[in-house]
Amino acid sequence: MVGKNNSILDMVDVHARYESVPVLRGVSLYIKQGEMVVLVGRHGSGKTAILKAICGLLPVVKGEVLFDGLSIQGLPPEKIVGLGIAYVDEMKLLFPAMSVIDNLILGTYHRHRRERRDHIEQDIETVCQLFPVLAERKKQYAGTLSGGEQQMLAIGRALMSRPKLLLLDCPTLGLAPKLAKKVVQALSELRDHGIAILLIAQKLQQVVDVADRGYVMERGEIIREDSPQELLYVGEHSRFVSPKT
Amino acid sequence: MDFPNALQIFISGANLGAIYTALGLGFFVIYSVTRLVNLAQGEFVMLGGMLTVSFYKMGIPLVPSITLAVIISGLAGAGLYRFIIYPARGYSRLTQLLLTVGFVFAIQGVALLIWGWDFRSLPAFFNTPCIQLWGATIFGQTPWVIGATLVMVIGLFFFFGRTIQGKALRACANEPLGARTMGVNIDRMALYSFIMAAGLGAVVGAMITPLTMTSYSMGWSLTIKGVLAAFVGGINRAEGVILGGVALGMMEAAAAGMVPGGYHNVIAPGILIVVLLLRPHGILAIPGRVE
Repeated sequence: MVGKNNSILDMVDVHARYESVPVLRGVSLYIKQGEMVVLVGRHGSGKTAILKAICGLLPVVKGEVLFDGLSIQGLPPEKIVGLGIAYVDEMKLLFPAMSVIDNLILGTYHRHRRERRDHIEQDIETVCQLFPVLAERKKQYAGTLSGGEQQMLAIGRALMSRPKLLLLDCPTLGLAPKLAKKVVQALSELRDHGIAILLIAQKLQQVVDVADRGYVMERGEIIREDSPQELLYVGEHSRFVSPKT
Repeated sequence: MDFPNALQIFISGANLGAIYTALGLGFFVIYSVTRLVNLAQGEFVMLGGMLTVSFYKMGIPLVPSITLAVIISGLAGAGLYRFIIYPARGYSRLTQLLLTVGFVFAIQGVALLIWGWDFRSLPAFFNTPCIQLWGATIFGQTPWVIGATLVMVIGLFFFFGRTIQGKALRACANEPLGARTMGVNIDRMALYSFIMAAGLGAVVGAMITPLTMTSYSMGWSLTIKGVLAAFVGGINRAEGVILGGVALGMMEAAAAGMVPGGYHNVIAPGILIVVLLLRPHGILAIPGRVE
């Protein structure tokens, strides 16, 4: 099922707060299947809050979040991942004292036992094709991987859940330019396979050629929607994108 | 020291080591998921022993008696989590620790009302006779204790290492938020850990009753031994708990065989103090993962 605009995700007038501090004020956005949408804005503008509100880590106090036509606000994260939304946190949230392979296997946790058993080998193979370094590090503890490898593992683990929508918080943060390019390329391939992607870009330049649309956030509100190229051009001449982005 | 005496000490040490390892594993299971040291763990051992004796005396065969004792103790573990720890999940570790102590006194009081002050016992399982080996005596129950502990250890390694539920339990301790975003229900996992630890404790209780007898008040001293085993070896690693349990058992047996009077009782706490001063997280603990 899809929502209006043929979208897989719709946020309508969403308000959310961290304790008593409002972090989202009437946010409305949509993402279509197979679309890559980028969120940009200054630090503290509410980008991460949007991702957390979608995946259930931040309670929505007003408004509606529709995924595949179903209202999902109020559901806990462990239910939301089962609907087909995978979230990759900025901190990656890997299981450091567990091996790479165990981290990947846990990505399938919410899937039915039979489905997991029938497809797990194939899915691990797919992730390892996307990120070959993970195949070489299968038995290594996740906590001993480099920053780039951990990022690939976090994305790979999210893919093991076979998501329809992938939420990524700064997937290229701290990566060398070459590695960042590799991660962006992998995301582009995923998008081409029909996965919707909503990501926060630390540097808009890194995704400008692959993203389809972008939203600019400021103080918990969306202040502009445009093509990434346009946002980059405008961003270089305005104040909504911090020097880092 | 002659060979039969040395062998006797070794056998006693292996027996005690198996008991302490099994006790420590109960702490390990709950700590692995919740980061809580459950000071009521020894009470599940007491419950397991007392219930097994009660069912057995009612004419129920041994294996069903133990099974029933494990199930009821598991339910008590579920009750401890659901009605005491879960409502206090946002509280400090210290508060939760004190709540488990409160549960200790509550369950002891109930046990006293039901079973009274008397010590109770069971015959060695299936009337296994004592074995004489090169001058040393092995009690009939000892092979059962060591065997049951081995089965528990292998079972836990398999469960935590090979099954997705076991991996999910470990993931909860590793990175709770990450586990939630994978679809793991952390509260349910914590509940499972309490049920599992209570069940393990009950098995230990049934196993040791023919050797040590059981009474309503036996749980606390077993808790202390289990805590010692777990913390000496490293509570966040099963290997650490095994090492701690075996080392504690062996040292206690050696001290009992070589140190006069009741001084051997000083050995275990003495070891704990020395080890914790030198290795605050335990001998094999993964540093930084013990709170």
